[in-house]
Amino acid sequence: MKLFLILFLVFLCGYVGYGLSSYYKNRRIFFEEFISLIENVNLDINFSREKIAQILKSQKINSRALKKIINNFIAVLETRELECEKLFEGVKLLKDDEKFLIFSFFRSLGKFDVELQSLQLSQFKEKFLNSLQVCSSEEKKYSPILLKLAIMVGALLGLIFI
Amino acid sequence: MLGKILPLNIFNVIDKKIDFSRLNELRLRSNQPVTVFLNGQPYYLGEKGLTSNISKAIICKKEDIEDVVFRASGCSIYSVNEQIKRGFIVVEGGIRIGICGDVVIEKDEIKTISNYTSLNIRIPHEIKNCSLSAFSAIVDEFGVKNTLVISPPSCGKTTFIRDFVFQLSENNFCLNVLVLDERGEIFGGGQMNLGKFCDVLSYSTKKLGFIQGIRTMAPNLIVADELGGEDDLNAIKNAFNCGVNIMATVHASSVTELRAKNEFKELLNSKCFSRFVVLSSRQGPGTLEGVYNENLTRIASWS
Repeated sequence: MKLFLILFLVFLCGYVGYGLSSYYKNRRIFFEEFISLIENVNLDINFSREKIAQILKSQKINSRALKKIINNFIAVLETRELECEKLFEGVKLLKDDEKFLIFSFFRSLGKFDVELQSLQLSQFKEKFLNSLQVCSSEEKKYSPILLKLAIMVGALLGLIFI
Repeated sequence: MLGKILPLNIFNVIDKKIDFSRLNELRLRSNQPVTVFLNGQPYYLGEKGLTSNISKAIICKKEDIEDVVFRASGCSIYSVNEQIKRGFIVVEGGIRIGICGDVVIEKDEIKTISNYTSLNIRIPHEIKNCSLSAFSAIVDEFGVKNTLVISPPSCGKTTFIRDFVFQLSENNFCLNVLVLDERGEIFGGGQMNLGKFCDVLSYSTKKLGFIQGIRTMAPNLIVADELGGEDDLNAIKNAFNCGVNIMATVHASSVTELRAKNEFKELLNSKCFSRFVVLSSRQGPGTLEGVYNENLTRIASWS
């Protein structure tokens, strides 16, 4: 029974630790997908010249946060003003400076001819590559620590209770 | 469609205070009063409707103009830049938005227009039967005569040819009609009814459209709007040599003015066109002034 309790506590704390570490994983996935979104948008703008809403709708995206932002953007396109709060409604994954960068990206979409838009997308891609680098190193640094720490806390609690 | 592109304060007045069926044109100029044309007559647009008092007119801001262009492009300027280069965007329903601003030129070619300063939003209307009065003068048992429709801007040339194409079909003339809709105004992106025997080639220049259309669609009649420039006239001459009949429009207020245009002299002398329909806005846009034959002699008039 005691052994079962210890195992249960280790599993429970490990699960919490995994949840905390997945924050970093999700951020990395978000920026990876954002970069491939920029690449795809750039291609579509150059070749098909579809409307921006159509291009965004046709993208296959796994990151829940990015999906949410794109849906918010498409909905905002129908109305008059692109506002930061509306764009990031329901998204908690990002820091303020990242939000500002993403907001600037969406605000510039569709505003220029192909050549300028393409150039702008390339510049944004560079900036998002930097963000991805930061996220990746954060993930490498904190994810395993959080998981290990949580398992250790679980084991410690178990020992205390026994 | 106007609701999607116009600033809300302007659209609300148009929607609630103006008879849309009479609205021909809307002019937005940076930091100037908004002007509307109803049945060809200009008015200022005020918060409470039409006004002749400039102090009550809505003043258009530069951001409004930029916003209209952005929305008209479907929030994707890059997708309509080829149109912007030619000075306009056509949106759903054949609404043509003429654009003025800074023309960006690179290597002798227009790259785009930026820093928009004024817009001319033209609202097309389907006026059924407006070509019927001239119909019998243009069509006989052998088909449609080569016809040039003449009028100053905003006098109903496009409306006339649109209805004429529709009437051909309504009167069971089984002619294959090819409409070269260079600016997308005649067909209005599929929103205008051109009848059963009509094929539409949209957004192509006349130079390319005539060649492609004749090769691929084997038309009996080609209809094109607003001839002008050497390329257009050469395309017309080539089409005549292919045995295709043509109906086209041109800017001029009378046959005398047309005769004075150097580029048309050869065409007029060769008598390729055997009918000239003159329109004016004397009694509102689309007023039929007369039909002339190849010798530019009036054969029918409505006064």
